[in-house]
Formats: sequence, structure tokens, C-alpha cells
Amino acid sequence: MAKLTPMMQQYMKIKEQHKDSILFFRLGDFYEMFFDDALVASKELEITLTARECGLKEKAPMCGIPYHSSDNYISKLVEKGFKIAICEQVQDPSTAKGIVKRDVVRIITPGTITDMQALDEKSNNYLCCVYMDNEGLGISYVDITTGELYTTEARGNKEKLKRTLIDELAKITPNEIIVNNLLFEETVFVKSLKSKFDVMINKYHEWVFDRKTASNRIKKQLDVITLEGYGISNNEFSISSTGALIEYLNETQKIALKHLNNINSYSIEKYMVLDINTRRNLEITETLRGKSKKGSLLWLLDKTSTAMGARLLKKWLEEPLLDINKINERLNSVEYLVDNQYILDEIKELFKNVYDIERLVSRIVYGSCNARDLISLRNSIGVLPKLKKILIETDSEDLMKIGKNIDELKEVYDLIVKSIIEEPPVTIKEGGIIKKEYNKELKELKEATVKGKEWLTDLQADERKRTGIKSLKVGFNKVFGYYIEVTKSNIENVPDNYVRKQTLANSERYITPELKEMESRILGSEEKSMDLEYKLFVQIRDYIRKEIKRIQNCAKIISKIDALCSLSQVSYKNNYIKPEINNDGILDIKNGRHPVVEKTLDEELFVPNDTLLDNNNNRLSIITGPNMAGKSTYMRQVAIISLMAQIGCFVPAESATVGLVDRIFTRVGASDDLSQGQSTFMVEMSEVANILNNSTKDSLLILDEIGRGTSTYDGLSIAWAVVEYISNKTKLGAKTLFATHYHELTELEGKLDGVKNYNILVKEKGDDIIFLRKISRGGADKSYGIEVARLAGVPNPVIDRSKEILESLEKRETEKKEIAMTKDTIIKEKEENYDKKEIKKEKSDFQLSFIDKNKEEIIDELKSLDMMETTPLDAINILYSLTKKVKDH
Amino acid sequence: MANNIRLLDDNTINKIAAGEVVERPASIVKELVENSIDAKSDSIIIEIKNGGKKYIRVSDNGIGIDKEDIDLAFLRHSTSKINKAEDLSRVISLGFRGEALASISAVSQMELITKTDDNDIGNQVEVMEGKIRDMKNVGCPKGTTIIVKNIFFNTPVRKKFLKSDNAESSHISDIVYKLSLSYPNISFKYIRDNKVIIKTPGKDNLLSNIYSIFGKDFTDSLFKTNYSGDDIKIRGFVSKPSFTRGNRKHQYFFINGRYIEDKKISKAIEEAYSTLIPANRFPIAILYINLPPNEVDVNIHPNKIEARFEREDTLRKIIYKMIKDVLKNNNLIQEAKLNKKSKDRNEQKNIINILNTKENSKEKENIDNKIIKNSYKTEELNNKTKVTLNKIPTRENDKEDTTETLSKDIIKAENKIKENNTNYEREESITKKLPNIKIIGKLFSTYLLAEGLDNEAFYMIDQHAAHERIMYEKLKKQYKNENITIQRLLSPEVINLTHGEFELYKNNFQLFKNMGFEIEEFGVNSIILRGVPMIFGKPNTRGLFLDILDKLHENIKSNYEVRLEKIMKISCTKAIKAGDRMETIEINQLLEDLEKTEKPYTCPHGRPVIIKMTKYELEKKFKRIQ
Repeated sequence: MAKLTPMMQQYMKIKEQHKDSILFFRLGDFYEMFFDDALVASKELEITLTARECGLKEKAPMCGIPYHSSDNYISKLVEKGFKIAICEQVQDPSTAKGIVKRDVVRIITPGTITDMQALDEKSNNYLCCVYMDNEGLGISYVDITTGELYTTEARGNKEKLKRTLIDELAKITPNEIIVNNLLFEETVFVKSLKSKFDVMINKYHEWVFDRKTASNRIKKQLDVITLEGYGISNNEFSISSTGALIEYLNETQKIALKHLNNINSYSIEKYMVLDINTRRNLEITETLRGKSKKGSLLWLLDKTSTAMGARLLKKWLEEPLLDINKINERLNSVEYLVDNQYILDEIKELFKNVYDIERLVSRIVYGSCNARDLISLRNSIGVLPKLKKILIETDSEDLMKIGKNIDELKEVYDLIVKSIIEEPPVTIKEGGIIKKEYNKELKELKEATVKGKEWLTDLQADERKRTGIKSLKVGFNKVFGYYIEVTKSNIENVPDNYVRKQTLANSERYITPELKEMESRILGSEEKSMDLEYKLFVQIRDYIRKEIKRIQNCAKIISKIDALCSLSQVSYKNNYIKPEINNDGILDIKNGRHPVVEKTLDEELFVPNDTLLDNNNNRLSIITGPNMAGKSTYMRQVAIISLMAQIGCFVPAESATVGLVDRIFTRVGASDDLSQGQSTFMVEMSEVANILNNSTKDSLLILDEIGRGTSTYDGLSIAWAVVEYISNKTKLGAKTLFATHYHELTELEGKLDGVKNYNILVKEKGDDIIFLRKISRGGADKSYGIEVARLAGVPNPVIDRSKEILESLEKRETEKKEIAMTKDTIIKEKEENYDKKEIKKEKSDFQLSFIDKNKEEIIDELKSLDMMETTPLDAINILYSLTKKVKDH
Repeated sequence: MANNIRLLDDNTINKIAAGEVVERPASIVKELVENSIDAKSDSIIIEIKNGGKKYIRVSDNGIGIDKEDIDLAFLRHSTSKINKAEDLSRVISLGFRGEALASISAVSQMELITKTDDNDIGNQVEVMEGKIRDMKNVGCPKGTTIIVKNIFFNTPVRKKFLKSDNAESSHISDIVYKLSLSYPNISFKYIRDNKVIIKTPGKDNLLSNIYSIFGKDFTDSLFKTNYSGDDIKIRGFVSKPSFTRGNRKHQYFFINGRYIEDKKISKAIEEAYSTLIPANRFPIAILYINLPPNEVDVNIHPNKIEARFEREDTLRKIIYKMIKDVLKNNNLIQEAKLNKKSKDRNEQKNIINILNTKENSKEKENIDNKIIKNSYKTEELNNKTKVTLNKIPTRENDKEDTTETLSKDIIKAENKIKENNTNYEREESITKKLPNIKIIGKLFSTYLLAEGLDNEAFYMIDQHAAHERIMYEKLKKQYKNENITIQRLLSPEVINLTHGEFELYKNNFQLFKNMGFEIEEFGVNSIILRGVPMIFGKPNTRGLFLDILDKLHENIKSNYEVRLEKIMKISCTKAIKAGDRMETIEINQLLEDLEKTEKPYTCPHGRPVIIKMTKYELEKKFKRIQ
């Protein structure tokens, strides 16, 4: 039997340990892939597939990429969901006996990419680890390009935990998830996660989740003996997931990740919970349709100057606060900056010099940073003293506090200033990066080079004098080094000690022993100084590595100020105002606007609207009005204003009092999840279920057309019952905006506590309707569906026909009355089962819809009118008699 | 709320000195914004496209117009602001002649959207050539929005007279500056071609208002000044003597909130600065003056820019003294500051500034002296190398050991130079302009005294004027030959401009380029200066550039050639100063160069360079001859 070549044996051995990865096997200047890896990679990367002798009968399929351009290929494969194991030569080939030793030095997965080109600088790239069993859930996630690590945990039954997990993942949007076995075996759930978040999910060794092992792993990483200081010593689920996460990083990265030096543990209740639908519906970080940032709330609010600031701002948007003090801290800072544009501009000017310090730091940790990175770091931290001064001199307590905490990092700054030259090359091994004054030895070496070159020019002058050859010159080329050149006409004057090296058409080139000696001295010292520079550079890098924690702290402060500046700038430019935050659940907005819609409207002017919701008489607003009139915009506007207030941003309104909201739920029509094989109605109802099961009295509910996905009476009944349930203080009592086309629901005002009717004004003008976009008290009587259909361009025959049908349907209204009454009793019965006391009180005046004989008369009267023949005075009189009829009823 | 707008009676109409309201897009902006202000708005958005020629929008959040009043609003001499002629004497609102909407709508396509507070429904009206076309209900916020499109679409001749987009938008910017300065309590947002140019806070803070309009450098240079008398109150800001401009563009006066131009007030201010700043330099001043309304007559000019007031002399004296005091108490005076705590910082900065300017001025003297020599040298050099520039590197011409390797090209080139020079000399000898003279001495280190070789006359030469003339012509010649030598700046200078200045620069970019300025745009409203014409030696580059810009602004109508001359004249102010000491060798060079100029008798600004006194005149003075 044929035997594999030794090299292929080595390959197979390593591949055996990394079966789930594509193995990049370093051979000289190439990474090669073999066998199945080669087949896959050549196809995915569109590179040529060749073959190589491997000792077996058939050649091994092979493809390869040059190592210096590997980043690109690696990112491409990782993006496509592959894991890549990088196998390097770990021995100097020149000293190796037999086959050079090779080993995997790093495994790259979607969650552990560090190639800056492949990553969006304005968002984090999270790797997430989830531990879940029958009692609890631990979630930990890390961005290894910045060193941030977060963890949280939850307890409860499995369904609740799954819900929590989905909500958290919606916030984190990780690029890779590793889970424990128990969770992984819930195949349906895992599959739904995969499709919902479009993410790679793998299980990880069970033993690393063991609490003891995990705890030790964390302690080792943090270099501590107890976890007390990190607030997770009692959070067993957090410990499991964090420990496993760190172990996974250890296994894949294979270096000490010094920048992972802190664990941010938070409780889920600390932040406003936004489920995945709400995040999508409110278009917080991306738009619903195009999934693009442009048009989202983030797009509007992000005027940050640094990538770090942009990432933090995104995080703020994803995690609105619930702590009134913290919110006010941010609001006060924003207020100060809005009022003092001067300061704001000054800070923004400073930040022009700031690079992505967080990611610079990770390059320092990975040892992949060059001298230019250090210059960038120097420029970045160079702004600290000035920033500190600006902040301390403000009148804002909160900004002053931040300013006082700034560590100016003087030693690091001075070290770089002293050591690294201003515009260093990209390479770090070819010299030209360290200032010669930094090191005595380096200075001597450099001076030797300079002196050597001076000596050469002197030599030219001396030799000219000595030989009398005026055209003699000293030159240099790469092959011969330094030489003396004499033109052919002067050859007879060449002295004896010249050794001829090369003959050219017009001249001869010579060397002398002393010239060669000087040459080796010059070249030698150049080489030495290159080596020395590299050594010094590594020393400097290592010194800075020790200060990483301090640098990270500065990065945090800069990001925070940057994010605050961004909010301030947007608030100022768009005339936002400072909201007053309260804990009493009062949401009182005067002339509120939808910040994004307002921005995208060009000439059309955005009509501001008031909102009043509280815990008493104004808990639930039923909003009626035609399609297209702006119900959805209005409701989203209220949710977004609440959200903006709770991230500490000013809000688009004339004045606003915002009561803290623990969760925002939205049920808006658009997100039909057909891909998961659920019907529109099923999706709608499961969302309603989620909302009713998980909201509290402090939640804000945005419900748009509940019950529209089924038959009219089914839908109406469900909508009705939902309103009853929500408005009932003993059951839910959450603040709710409820948009509907079931005008029957407007009957509920006055019958149910806390329910108020609102409608969006429109004006009819002949066949046209004019949208006034103004919210007003009271219910609407008509949905103007046909008019809207006409505006949308539905062909005229269809429009005309639907008008006919509508008319005939309306004529049958009276007949329907009976049916309605029957339904009435059903509802009454149900209500009684629900809550007997409540019903008794309002038994007598229960009525489903307003039907009136008068109505037909009035309509007939209107129909018979000829407007062209009517004088204004007559019109007024007719109107008067009509209103009288209606009122007298 | 109805009946806000009334027709004026004929008597009133005649009393009003009305003129054409719509001159250019800027006047439309002015009228519309003034209407918005009068409608009690606290937030006004001004948007223009294509210099306002295609599109102007003014949106406010004011009281709006009642439906019943809309028709009336477009009639001439309808206004909601005054009733009878007697009201004119106590006009407080800005617009009052009742012409604005009527005049504007007559020459444009106008759209008006308005809603009052107590109506749910707004109204939208289209107006064409003064006639209401279509009125319909519309949902809109409270206030009034007016959109004016295609100005002068029906008067093609007037349309032709409109300037470039940039020029028109610069006029509009000017108007916006003035209006936003005069109403610090109103938040203005100025959008030009979809870019937000200005956004003022509208919080009644004068300084942060100025900051939001003119930016940091400008605001940093201001002193605060105040006066409060019986019925005259003045608040405002004037610039430090070190920060001056080349024209009066940045002097803004507001009488009872209305922007006016007044030469006498300018004069009073400039007198207060008289010895502190160079001649032909103007301080910045933004003054808010409050007088009893019955002492002011704002109606003497149709553009309502000038005003007459009683007690004009008193006012002038007050202003003079107020500013004089500010400047005198320089170091005691509170800095103009945006933030209480930054006082120390600003003061420090101030001291540094003062030190710097002192050093600078010393340096300047030195430099000036050097310039004389330098510029001569460079000319020599230029002459030598000009021809060969393209073919061979200029270095090493005079280094001995390389002369051996001189190529034939160079020899040729040198011959050419010689030829050139001889040509030149020949020319000179033919057209000798200056009399043959011999320098006999210097007077006041300013005038050179010379005796005519013919023994018939005595000459006095102004060294500054002479040098100016030389530099001016040299520059002009270089400009014409398109071989201006550019002096690269070691550290390029970034200059932040106002929007208007930036537009001006853009319009004249080619001009600057041809003159040898190396300039690039550098972000919004800022430029980077990388090189200046060699001829200037090492002038204060930033100042020179700003001076030229200011000069350009003064006369926007003048044609290209005239502008060019203007710039060149400014450039010559960097010549040898009166009082600079000159060595004999320099004097001789100066005379030689002067000889070569086309018009050696006057400086570029028209003052004489050389004055001749004949022996006869002299003898007459001494009564030797009767």
C-alpha cells in the first residue's frame, strides 16, 4: 500500500484535530489547502484547483493563496460561514532537520475576525456564548477587536428563557454563537435562531460549561483569585457562559488576550427591553424594508467623529436606560453642549485627530500593530489633556465629572513622541521607525552610517586630488556596492591600489580595500540598526501593552463624549428639546414629530401632534382614521420619542414629559414571517400573545390593526377583547396606542376606564380626501378605503364597483343590526365570565354600533344636493339642519 | 382673528416712499423673512437653491394667515401692520408698506401654505403673476411657508440681469447674516442647495448667536461693549485692534432691531480706533442701538437700509466714547466669552496673542528689509534661468566642478539669455524715461534726494512709492507671461471663511491661481493656502489673502481686468516702507529697476513717485531771481 509523504502525514495529523475548519497549511510563501478543503475553498474563492503528489496513487487536490494577501481570502470564507485554521511553520526552516514543525496558531471564525478591512468600523463584531438548562440562562458576548466582554443571566421556565434569549440576541446581533449541548439539542429552536439572526451556531464541549472549570478559567484570564469584584460570583449561569467563551477564545486565538481584562455584568432589567419585532418596526438601527442604515434612527442620530463613538451610540440606542438618574446625567450633558456650541465645536475639532483606539489596542495585543499605529495612538491620546481641560472648565457637573476622570496617559504619549519618528513606513523590520535620539546605540549606528557616507564624499575629493582625475566619482549600485568610477580617457592615471571590478562603455569601475572596509561598516551598521530598531519597537509595544487597561479607559471616555456630542449636534440642528423624565408613567408630548420622517419629507411639512398617556384616565388611545392618514407614523413617533428620551437624547417636540417605560412592544402589520411557514394571522396572534404575556403596566404598547388577518367578526372580537384586557388595570393596564378600522371600538370610551378615542383628521372634497395629519379627540366614522384605493391607482372600474357594493352593504346595515345585537349578548356573556363586577355597572347601555334611521335620510338628502346650484348661504342652512337632525337624535 | 389685513387709504399709500421691492432673490428673502418675523415666529427656515433664482422657501412657525385674509395678502399696499399714515411714526414692525407679497408674486411662481393656531386645517394657495390660482385645504403645521420659484420667469429682461448662482446666494447670505444678527431671539436655519449653512440657537444670547453665524476665529476676536443712558441703550461687540478687515462689510448696526447702514456711525467707530489700526483697515463692529422709535425715521430709503435720527451727533459721541473706553481699558475689560469658566483661558490666550503680534511686527520689519534684497535676487535669478527652466534643473549653474559636464543645451540657453539681456538693454537705452540723476542723499529715511545731471533740476523720490511701482509691474509682467514663481509655504495655512467669502473665493479661484496662489478647498467654507507668489517675499499670507478677498467684495460689478489690478495693488503694500533705511547699493538697484518700469512716475495707487523741482523754481524761492 502506498504511503503518504512525510509532509502529508504531518498535514493529516493536524487536519485530524481541526476537522470542522478549513486548514490553511503554510508551505513557504503560500497557504495551501488539500483534499476536501481544497475542493471547497477553490470553489468559494474562485481560485484554481490543482493537485499535488502525496504518496498515494492519486494526487491530492490542492489550491493555495499567497500568505501576504491572505486576509482578504480568509474574510471571504469566514463571511460565508467557514472556520479557518491557520497552520504556520513554527520552526526556522534553516535550522530544521527533516520536516519543519508546523502548528495551528489561530482559528478564525465569524466571531473572531480581526481583519479591520472586513469589519464595519461602526458596529461591534460580537461572539456570543449561551448556556441554558432547565433552570436558567447565561449569555456572554465579546468583541475581540475592542476587548469588551458582557454577560447577563436569567432564571425561569424554559419558554420564558427562550423568549429572553431571543430578545437579548436581537439586541446583541452576534456574528457567531456557541452553545452548550442541552440547548443545541433543541433543534427546532436553534434552527429558528439561525434563520432569525442569520448566524452561525455551534455547540461547544460540555465540560467547559461546568461551573467550577468555567470559574477557574475566568479567574485565570482576569488574573484574580475571586470574582467578587466583577459582580458575578453568584451568577452561576453567567459564569458558565463566560468561562466557556474565554476557553473558546483561548482555543482559537492561542495567545493571551490581554485586552480582555474586565467583565461587564448587567441584569436584563437594567435596560428597556425591545423585542426583535419592535426593533425592526421602529427602524432603530436599520430600515424595515431595505435593511439599510440610511433612514433608520441610528442614521439620524449618528454624527459621531470616531468609530468608537459610533459603536457606543449604537449600543445606547440598543439599550435605552431605565435609571432616571443616568438618563438625566446624559440629558444634562447634552443640554450643556446644545447651549454651548462653542464647546461642542471645540471637542469635535479635537476628535478629528482620534483614531479607533479600541481596535488599535487589540492590534497591539495581537502583535500586529506597526509604527504607524503607534503614531495614530499618539495622535489620539494627544488630545486627552485638552479634552480634560475643556470638560473640567464647563459648567456642567456631569461633564466635569467625566473630565476629572481622564487619565492623560502622559508616559505613553511621551514614550511614543520620544521614540517613533513622525511618518514611519508600514513595515517594522526594515528600519526607519525609531528616532535616533531615543537610543544611544542606535544613534551611534546611524551616525556611523552618516559618517561613512561623508567619508565617501571626502574620498571622492581626496582621490581626485591624488590622481588628478577630475571626472572621478564614487558611486553605488546594489550588485557591487560602492565603487570608484573613472572615464576611459583617464585610465592611465589610475593608481595601483585600485582593483578593477567592472568595465563599461565609457568608464571603468574600481574598488579599493579601504573602500570595501568602509562599505561593510556602513552596510553592517545599517543592518544592525534595522535589527535594533525592531527590537526597540517590540520593547515599546510591550511597554504599551502593559498600559492597555488605562488606554481602554480613555477610549471609553472619548466614545462617551463623542456619543454625547453627536446627540447634542443632532438635537441642536433639528430643534429638539429636553424631555422631562418622570417615574409616574405620564407621557405628555406637545407638538411631537417623527424625527426620521420629518427629515425625509422634503417640501411637505410635517404636522406635529400631541400625545397624552398616563396611568389613570388616558391609558389606552383608540385611534381611528383612514389608511394613509398617518396613524402608523404617529404611533411610531410616540414610541421613538420615548426611546430617544430614555437614551438621553433630546426629542422632536415643543415640550415633552416622558414617563419611564420598561418595554416597548409593537405589533405592526408589515413583518409577515412567511419564510417560517406561518400564516399572516398566526404570526400576528403569536405576537399578540407575546405582548399580552410579557408586558407590564409600565410598558408602552403600539398595536396597529389587531385582528385584521381574519374574518371581520373574528377580528373585531379579538380586538375588542384585547382592548378590554389591556385597559383593565387589574390585568395589564399598560399604556397603549391602538389603531383600528373597527369603528365599533370607539364605543368603548366612557365604558372602559382609561380608554380615549382619537382620530386622524381628513377632509372630504368631492371624491378626494385631504389628509390633515392632525390627531384629534373623538372617533372617526369612516375609513375612506375606497378613496385611498383610488389614490393608490386601483383602476376606475374596480373603484366604481366597490362604491356600488359599499352602498348596498350600507343599505343592509339595518338588517345587520340584529346580528350585531346577538353578538352583543355573546360578548356580554363572556365579559361576565371575565369580571362580573365590572359588567354589572355598565350593563344597560351596551351597544355595538351606531345605527340610525336618520343616517339614511341624511345621506339621501346629501345625495340630492347639487352643489353647483347651492349658494353659500343655502349651504350653511342645509348644514345647520343636518347637524340639528343628528344632534336631536 | 379675521380682518388683520386692510387696504390702506390713498393718502397713506402716497406717503410711503415705495420703490421696487424685488430687485433680486436676496430682496425676496428679505421681505419674506421680515414677514415671518412680524408674524411672531421664533423659528424660521430659509432654503434656497441655485442662488434663489430657481427656488426660495421661507418657513416659519408664526401666527399664520387666516383663510379670509389670504386673498387680500396679495393685493398691493395691503398690510396687517399699520392702519393710517400716523402709524408710520411709530413703526415697530419691519415690513409695513404692504407691498411684499404682491410684488413678489407678480414676478414669480409662488406657493403659500399657512395655518393659524386655532384652525385644524391649513390652506395652500398657488399664485401666478399676482393672481391666486388654486386654493385648497391641506394638513400642515402652524405658521406660514412661502415657496417662490422661477423668479422673473415672466420678465426675461430682468432675469438676464441676475448674476451667477454664487453671486446671488452670496447676496442672500448677507441678508441672512443681517437678519439673524438682528434677531438673536429667533432661531434661523439657512439651507443652501440642501446643505445647512447656518443654524442659530435663538436663545437671545448675542454672542452665541454671532458664534453660530461667523464661527470661532471671528468670535474670539471680539470685545464686549455696552452703554446705557437715559433713552439710548447700546450693546454689542467690536473687534480687537489686531483683528481688522479690509472693508466695512463686517460692521453691523441695528437700530431698534432693524439693520441699517450709517456712514457716520462707522466713522465714529473708526475714529475711536484711529491710532490703533493701520489706515485702510476697518474694525469689526456689531452694535445694537435702542432709541425711542419716534426719534428714528426709517422710511427714507426704499430698501429701508438707511435711517435718520434726531440727536445724531449725540449718538456718534456716545459710540466714540464707548469704544474708546473699551479699547483703553483693554486689559481690564472682560473678554467676550461664551462660557464663564473659560475666562482664564481666554485671558491667557489674549496675552499670548499680544505677545505674538508684537513679535510679529518686529519680525515683519526684518522681513520687509529682507524682501527688498530677496526680491532683487530672485529677479536676477529668474532672468538667468527663465529660459532654461523647462529643459534643465536650475541648480549648480555656478558650481565649478560641474561646469565641465554642462550640456550643449545649457550653452545654447545661456546664449539666449545673453541675447535677451542685450535686447532688453537696447530697448532701455532707447526709451529712457527717468532723467539722468545722481543721488545726493536721503531725507527722513523716506525720500531720496537727487540732482539732475544736467544741473537743471532737483528731484525727490518716495522710496515706498517707487518700490510699489516696481513690484506692481513685475507682478503684472509675470502674470502676463504666465511664469509667476510660486513660493511654497513650509506649513500650509488653513483659513476659515464665512460662506460669502468662500463663494467669493470660488468665483475668483482662477484669478488667484493665475496670480500664483496655490489654494485648495479644505472642507466646508475653508481653504488651504499652500503657496503664494514669490513676488510677495514672505508676507503675512493669511492677511494678504483676506485683504484681497475683501477688496474683491467691494466692487463685485467690476470686470475681470479691474479686479486683477486691484489685487496687484494690494500686493504692493508689502513694499519697502517709508522710514526703512536703505543702503546705497539698494538705492541704486531701486533706481535701476524703476527705470525699467513702464510708468515710473506714480505708484499703482496714483500717488507720485518722483517730484521734480527745477533749479529755476528753487532759485525763485530763495528770491535769487524775481
